[in-house]
Amino acid sequence: MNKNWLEWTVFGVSAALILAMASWLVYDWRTPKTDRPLLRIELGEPISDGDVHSVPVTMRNEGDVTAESVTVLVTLTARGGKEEQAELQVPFIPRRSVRNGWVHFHSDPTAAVSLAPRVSGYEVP
Amino acid sequence: MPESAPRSVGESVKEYGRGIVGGLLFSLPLLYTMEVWWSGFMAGPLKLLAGLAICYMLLLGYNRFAGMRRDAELREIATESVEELGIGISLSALILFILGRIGPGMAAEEVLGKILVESFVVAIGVSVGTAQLGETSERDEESDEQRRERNTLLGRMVLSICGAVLIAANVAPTEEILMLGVEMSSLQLLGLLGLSLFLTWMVLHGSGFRGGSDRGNGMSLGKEVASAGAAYVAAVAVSVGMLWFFGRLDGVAPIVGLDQTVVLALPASLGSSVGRLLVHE
Repeated sequence: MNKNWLEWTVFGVSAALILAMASWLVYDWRTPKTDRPLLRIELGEPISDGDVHSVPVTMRNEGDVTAESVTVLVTLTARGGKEEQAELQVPFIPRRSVRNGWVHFHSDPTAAVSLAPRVSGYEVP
Repeated sequence: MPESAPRSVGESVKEYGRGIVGGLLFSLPLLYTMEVWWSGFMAGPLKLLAGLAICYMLLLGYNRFAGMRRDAELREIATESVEELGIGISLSALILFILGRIGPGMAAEEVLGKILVESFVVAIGVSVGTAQLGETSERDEESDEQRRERNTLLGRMVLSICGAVLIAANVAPTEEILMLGVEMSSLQLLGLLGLSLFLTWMVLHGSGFRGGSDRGNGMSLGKEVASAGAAYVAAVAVSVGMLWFFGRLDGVAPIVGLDQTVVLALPASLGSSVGRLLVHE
């Protein structure tokens, strides 16, 4: 075959790339899968700026199905039982992926009795 | 054909340059479309594997029937197709990274899925760019006999399919195809089908395109209609394949699938008929 060193290099790198991707796809195909998204929500350290209290939200999909139109609700229960709810919507959380966001409260989360996140719903593709 | 000396490195660099420009020219709209990023992580590994295999076969076919060195032996066509697929994968990874669509912290499934889905069309664009954007003097000289050999049903179908993929891929993953399909009346869809067939015939036989056969050259109208029909069939096949790949046929009634196919077959048939002319060049 009639190739110079540059063409052989491009060919070698390309062949390695394609083989690696194909092997990974075969491995991924043979690995057992969950049949739905498995969403885990974690809250980070609140940050206060005057009257606005922001809480970072990490949404992790540990399943093998993408979750679409995910709605996350975070409920803050203040001392005295007063509840405040914040909502966060994410268009997609791909399988085995993480998305980050923030929710805001008027009440101070650091003085709250509890701060509980939950996924209220999502679509599957 | 006698074995000629290898190209100089400078010539190869120019050829890769043309390939890269061609790849971007045909696929930038796709790289800028969010439905394509999404389909990257929605498509399962089996679908991506099928896409990879189909893309490689199309590259083989394109390089065999319309590539720079059409008369090269199969081994050379096979290695060239590997190079083009590799360039397609690298190029889509680079552009997606610059656009911030992939990056550290993302799951491997998401990153690789996005790169792969985009790279299929980029690779075909690379192949077309390498072959079509160069100077004609760089192409191999060929005899009428070789040209006739290439102008077979298989050759025409492969080029039709490649042309249809390049043009239809830009709209196939979008919501608009579904929206048009379900909102258009049956009469409008029939009109669109008629228009697609007419345009296909016009490109191939009615308007003096380079490589087309014009009226009055002895070809009967029946044969012209049959050849336009064949190009349209390739367009329909590509449309169905693309709608399946992008998950547009999942969970919809067969009639909705058909409606979407008719909508997508218009751009696909333009690509399919123009792509086929390359074989006559």
